[in-house]
Amino acid sequence: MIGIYSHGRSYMHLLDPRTKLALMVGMGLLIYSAQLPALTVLLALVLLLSRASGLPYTRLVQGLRPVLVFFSVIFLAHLLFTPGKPLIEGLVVPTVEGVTTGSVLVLRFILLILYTSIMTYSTSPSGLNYALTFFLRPFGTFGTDLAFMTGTAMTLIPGLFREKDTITKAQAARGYKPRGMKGFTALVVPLMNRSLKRVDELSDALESRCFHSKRRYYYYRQTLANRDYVAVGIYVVLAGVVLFVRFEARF
Amino acid sequence: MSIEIRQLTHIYDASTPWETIALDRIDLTISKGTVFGLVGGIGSGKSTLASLMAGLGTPAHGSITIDGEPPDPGRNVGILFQQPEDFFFEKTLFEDMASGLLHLGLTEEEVHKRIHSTLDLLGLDHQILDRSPFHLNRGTLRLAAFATVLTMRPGYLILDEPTASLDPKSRKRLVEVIKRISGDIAIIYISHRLQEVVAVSEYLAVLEQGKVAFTGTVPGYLDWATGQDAWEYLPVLNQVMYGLQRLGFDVDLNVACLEDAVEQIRLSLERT
Ligand SMILES: Nc1ncnc2c1ncn2[C@@H]1O[C@H](COP(=O)(O)OP(=O)(O)OP(=O)(O)O)[C@@H](O)[C@H]1O
Ligand SMILES: [Mg+2]
Repeated sequence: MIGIYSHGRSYMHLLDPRTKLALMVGMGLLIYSAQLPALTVLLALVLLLSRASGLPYTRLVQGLRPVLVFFSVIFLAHLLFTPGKPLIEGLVVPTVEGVTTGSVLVLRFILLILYTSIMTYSTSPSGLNYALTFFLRPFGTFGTDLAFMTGTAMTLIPGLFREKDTITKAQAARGYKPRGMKGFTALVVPLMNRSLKRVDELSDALESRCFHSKRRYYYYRQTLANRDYVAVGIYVVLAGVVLFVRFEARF
Repeated sequence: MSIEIRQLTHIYDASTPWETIALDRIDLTISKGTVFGLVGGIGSGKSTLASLMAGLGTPAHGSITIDGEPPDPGRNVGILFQQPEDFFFEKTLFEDMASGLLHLGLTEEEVHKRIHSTLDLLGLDHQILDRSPFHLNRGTLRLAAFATVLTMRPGYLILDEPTASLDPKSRKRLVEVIKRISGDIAIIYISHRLQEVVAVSEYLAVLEQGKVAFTGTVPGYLDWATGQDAWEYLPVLNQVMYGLQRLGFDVDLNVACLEDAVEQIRLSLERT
């Protein structure tokens, strides 16, 4: 599942967060440019990486459940509206082209989600934040602020879900059913009330500890290890193969 | 007439790395017409037990019955959550208190009657009903939230740290109210303040990491805590009495308030 980190000491966990973030972006580009044969290779790789990060397959696949409907709609749309050679003699749709473009698109989405799941599973939020800050540094204060904002927002999200749970229960105990507009206000007003209070406290706490945007230094300074170079090397080879397969078809 | 909790287990985020066993095979019986204190350290499972008893959420294993039936919030059981003043959302306090009751299917007339009589019971000014809940102070709001739960007239009422982060004056007022109403309904009183719990309750249970470490009467509890030689389990006054006992004073450990303690010490001094 995306966004859920688990502590561990696997190969994936030990990779530098910067390497992982960069490779994640790189993977995104590869997935975007790959066609069916290359996509199956990337799928095999993601299963391998899942092993290497200690993320069980069942949990990896669970992450796809919320977007299943979305995928089906995309696939169906392509199946029904792509013109071309009919799959079954005598019927206009579905077409062979429809099946291939539909499955390629869906497979791309699936791969993106799976790769992201593995990254967030093996990279702590603070590690991710460190990587983000690193890459946004060229943009100056704006970059570091942006990284800090995303990092902070990410750490607040699980709390928000827990809060939502508590509020729904508390309102139910008072006789409210979470239904319609009333139910919505009954949830949102207290949620805003509590979260804003939280955020307010957080900003006070930061200020009282002398944090301000122009002065943020990371206490930890990581250096890239051999395994990071190995990972980048593997990626370069992979990218070469995928791009070759992709463009070789043209010649 | 009682709440029966049998082999209750509750697990958060089951079969993930964050799995927390919040409650572990809990057995408790809470009789009607008493104040039942529930104490335990941070994260010991008090709030989890409270919301399950209130029928909010389903336990992983085990059962809870209230007078033989499953808990039904707003009908046979009420709960005052931690920091309940955060849960208001309507424009006026009255609307807030009323719409929950209307949901439960009461007539408008009945709703009016219940709200006003409950405010009288708590000694609250009726004028606050027209104010916005966002403009009332925390102490008043806490009492108002308490009133909201009381208007549903539950037979069992769970109070989750009702006095937390209140000033001493509001705290005293709330405790007085609790004592006053406890004749008619069963109250489950959750708190970190042992002194308060011991002062209002007849029975008491101690949760420790999701398990029941002790359950019994208040004097029984004081014996148990001294037996364990665990100072932190004793309310301050009882700690003092325990200390005096160890110094050789002939005093009773079971004191509920300062007056009791002073009397005990006076008697002991007279005897020597
Ligand atoms: N919604 C939730 N999701 C996951 N874990 C939770 C959730 N609520 C509570 N927990 C965990 O369950 C355990 C028991 O929590 P609970 O809130 O019942 O304790 P408590 O005794 O009420 O503590 P406190 O004194 O802080 O109010 C804790 O370890 C807590 O972190
Ligand atoms: Mg609690």
